[in-house]
Amino acid sequence: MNTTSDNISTNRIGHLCRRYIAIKRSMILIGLAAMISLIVLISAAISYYDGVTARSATSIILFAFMIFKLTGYALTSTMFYELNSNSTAPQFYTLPATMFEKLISAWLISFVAYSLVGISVLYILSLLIGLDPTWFFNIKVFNEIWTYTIIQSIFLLGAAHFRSNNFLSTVVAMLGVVILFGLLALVISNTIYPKGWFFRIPTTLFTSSTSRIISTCIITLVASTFFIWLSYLRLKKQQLT
Amino acid sequence: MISIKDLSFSYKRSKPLIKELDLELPSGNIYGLFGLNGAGKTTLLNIITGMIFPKSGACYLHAQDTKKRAVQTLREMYIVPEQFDLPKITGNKYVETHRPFYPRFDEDLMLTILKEFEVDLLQNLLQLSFGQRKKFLIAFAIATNTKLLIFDEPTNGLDIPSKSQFRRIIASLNLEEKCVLISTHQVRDLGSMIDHLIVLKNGSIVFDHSVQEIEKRLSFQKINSDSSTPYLYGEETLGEIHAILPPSDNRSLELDLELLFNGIISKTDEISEHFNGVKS
Repeated sequence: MNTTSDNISTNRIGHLCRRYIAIKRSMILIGLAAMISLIVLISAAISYYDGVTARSATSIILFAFMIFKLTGYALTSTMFYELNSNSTAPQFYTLPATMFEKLISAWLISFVAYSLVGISVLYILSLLIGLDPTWFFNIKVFNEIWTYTIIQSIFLLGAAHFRSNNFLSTVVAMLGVVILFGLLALVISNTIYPKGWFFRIPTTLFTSSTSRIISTCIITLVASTFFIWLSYLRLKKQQLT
Repeated sequence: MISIKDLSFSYKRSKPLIKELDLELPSGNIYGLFGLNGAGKTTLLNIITGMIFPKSGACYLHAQDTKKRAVQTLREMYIVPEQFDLPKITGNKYVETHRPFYPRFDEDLMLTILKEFEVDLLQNLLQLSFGQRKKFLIAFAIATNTKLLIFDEPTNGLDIPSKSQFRRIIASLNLEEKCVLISTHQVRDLGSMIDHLIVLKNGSIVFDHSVQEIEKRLSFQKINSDSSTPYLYGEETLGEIHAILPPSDNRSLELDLELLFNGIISKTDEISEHFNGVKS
């Protein structure tokens, strides 16, 4: 790829990723150590109790997924931490790479790399607690992953948009949007159907037929691309305050 | 190299900080940007580097609008801000992760400067004092070999020997195709190395002349308090007036940038008229 123009340069993206890893090295090491410790602890507890039932094992994995997702959102919220202070922002703004490259490298670290490591760890954990090796490829895990993918991209937007407390600000903004749309839907439904309106929660995204999985993947791709694109527009407009 | 056209800027709900400013900074010079607190110096530097966007007008580096933050523009400029934080990594790691973005980065030059500054690359940057960190960033900035180097209050936080080291290092730069812009209050610290003076007052450039031109058009003399010699600006000290006068047959003292700056700020119209023949 061309590295001398403003075309996307894979070289620069690589340098940006290396820079981020170097800056956040201690945080990454602590995270890895925590993950390994958690696996060791859970494995030790399970061997102490001579294994767990399949139902408990599933609950453990789903709980671990919750931790994985929350940690991922928190990590994503810190991706543009340099913008939050005028003493670090100049380094970010004037670093010779396009905003798109800066955004993509942040996404590669906070989503691709983090998910690869996290999901591998969760897979190893599922094996250690006695789940079948094929269990991991079920619809429950799929649902965890697609919801994580979309919400992670919203946290990326929050990281680009807010100038302080990015994680909490994003949570509050998401809650606000959900409440707003909920109320709006309630008002509209009461206006159109004054006698009451029943609707079925679409089950499309929670069942396992191939076509439904494909449609879920497409929706996930479109939604997360949309939020990443919004993050890009926001980053381009960001200025020193 | 730098071309600023009709630039205006104001913060939200504030009166304009920079008003219809035009400025050309050709390469080959060390520019001193002076102004009182709040004159808009740092804001102007932030606009030049594309960190904030003007309300109107534009700033170009090699005909590229800096607002676009294009890679070709960013890799040709480096700013050492007045206040900054560096990541919690060693100097070596910082260089290793940032040098790939600057194609003409000169590691030998950086090592030479750091040796002179006595900064250890192996130490964690957060463990260094503010002055040490500033010296590290100054060394990195110079080693990037970018065409435009910007220093905002570079000597703030530096000890006395480091200030003279900084002057020596900047003076030794090969300025061909390069432009160094230094914004400072410390006129006495940096006056000797500047070869072009720009003064910003109330958001406008009120003075923009080379040292050579200043020396040709003004003379600095000490005259008696009761002397009838007309002068453009003067400061009374111990029965004498340290004055700025039009050139005369009397031998001029060395250019006193502090006196000149004070003169420009308090007698803006008179000094401007003397140089340009028109009031600013």
